[in-house]
Amino acid sequence: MSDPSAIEHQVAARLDRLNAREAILDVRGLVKTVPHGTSERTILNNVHLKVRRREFLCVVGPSGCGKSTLIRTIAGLEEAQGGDILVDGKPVHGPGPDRAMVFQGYTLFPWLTVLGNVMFGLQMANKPKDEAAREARQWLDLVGLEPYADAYPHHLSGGMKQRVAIARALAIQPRILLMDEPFSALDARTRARMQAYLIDIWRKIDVTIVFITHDLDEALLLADRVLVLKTNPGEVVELMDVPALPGARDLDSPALKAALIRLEGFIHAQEQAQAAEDEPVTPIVRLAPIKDGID
Amino acid sequence: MLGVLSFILPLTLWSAISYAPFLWHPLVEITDPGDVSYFSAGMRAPADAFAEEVEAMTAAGQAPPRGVPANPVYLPAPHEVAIALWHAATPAADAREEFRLSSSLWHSIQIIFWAFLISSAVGVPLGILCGSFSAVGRLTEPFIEFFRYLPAPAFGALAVAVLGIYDAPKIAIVVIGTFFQQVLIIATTTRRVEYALLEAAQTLGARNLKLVRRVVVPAILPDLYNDQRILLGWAWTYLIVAELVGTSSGITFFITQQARYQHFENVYAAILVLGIVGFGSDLLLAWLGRWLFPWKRTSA
Repeated sequence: MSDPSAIEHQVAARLDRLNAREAILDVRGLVKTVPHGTSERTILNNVHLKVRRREFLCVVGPSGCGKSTLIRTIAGLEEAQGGDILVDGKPVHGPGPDRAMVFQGYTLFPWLTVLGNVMFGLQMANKPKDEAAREARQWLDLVGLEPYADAYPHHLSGGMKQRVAIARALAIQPRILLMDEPFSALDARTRARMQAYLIDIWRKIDVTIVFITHDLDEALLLADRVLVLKTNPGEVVELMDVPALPGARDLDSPALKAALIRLEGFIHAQEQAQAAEDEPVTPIVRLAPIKDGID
Repeated sequence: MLGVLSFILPLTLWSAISYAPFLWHPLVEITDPGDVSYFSAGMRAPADAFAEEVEAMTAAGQAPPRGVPANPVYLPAPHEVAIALWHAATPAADAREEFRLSSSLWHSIQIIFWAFLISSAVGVPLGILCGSFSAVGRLTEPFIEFFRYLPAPAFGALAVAVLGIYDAPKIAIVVIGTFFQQVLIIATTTRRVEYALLEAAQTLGARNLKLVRRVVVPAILPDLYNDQRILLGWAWTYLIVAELVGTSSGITFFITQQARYQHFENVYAAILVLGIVGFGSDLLLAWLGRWLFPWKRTSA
């Protein structure tokens, strides 16, 4: 439809504008270790990351690369052993409403209605009840669940629950929305719909998103930039610009196909390196030679 | 269906032993003593002694005694217990207060109510705090753990010396028996709260006591409710011991009195009523729990 080079131009211009904005999240030399027997195991090693205002960043990497740990540490749910995490220039100590989080398991409060769940954060901020309810209804309207305001979470489908969780997180107007594999428990069709919803919401409001996924297609559909982590210890391998504009993206376009191959290359190379590092295992199952077959 | 059958089976067994004369019936209830000097109408004699006397009297040409096979006096038939229950439900107007089953039971229920209320008023909040804040738990739980092993009835004499002989020491013993278990059980339930919910609440700005009040308490409420149901059952078992302390009272006094007069049908009636009240209140609470916490499947 439109000229590929023109799109390339638009993308570059957009990323320039993005980079000109102030960094909302600034991760400096983050180190995270966990006790491992008598020694310590390094989960994240010297991670640097700047996320600009209204940016959509996806974090990918092989399983065990510490992407979940990274986002949980940013959320303040885990303590870092070194480095700094700055939000709007202020260091992070513990969880706070400037960084809302959406989890893979929906973590809705089962004793509260949908409306009550969305009101929760507002009430924690000591907003009067009627004001909180009015605001919460607007957020539910944004995710298209206003008619379900009085339903309880156990009556909703997985996709609807996750939309409530998103509305609940957005209602407190966080600077950053942290999402830890939010759609991986959903079926493929619902996931596609949720991705479209999320992009739609993100374009409407002033929020910065850090999104963890193990699905490279998902990262390319959603993100402005993709951060690739490697395993053992978790370190930044690459921060890749996604060569497409936000909105409905076509994964079959040449630019995104090329991007996918690059991403796969990073992850694949690591998996091979990992396999080479692993000790050869003596086989327990002895395979019979073909010539000794029983037929 | 099987649930109903589980009640019918023992009832059938009881009826069979009571009404089928060839089952057990080790005694003979004398209807006519004949010429045996130490027999009297209504007394129960061992079957072999009765047979000997019949033989001896027949041989001596005197009138043999007559009687019907009977069970010992401590095993009344179902209909006798049913009649006793009926009398308990419709007491004669002139019956003395403490000899009535209904007023004895009411007295016992009051003891349980106050004891459980006092125990819960302190035990539930303390248990939740122990489970929520590890410092509170470490400060109080070792002592509570120790105290839990001191049998509540052992405090009987002490309770009477301090609190007098009426209801206060009885309430105190049920409280001692319930409270320490209650704190530990509720602390454990509190620790089992889904961690992900706490994390979600923290990222939404909930902290400390607000986190406890708005997340921990509602999250554990269905389990807490079930714990309370179980603890109420324990309180009932302490009741019987507690009522023997000081002046005996309530349902226990009724049972011991009736046993002394060999009115075993009343004893069984009282025990049955205890079971019915306990089991019935538990069923009621379970049903209420399902209605109160529709998001949680409470196990009955």
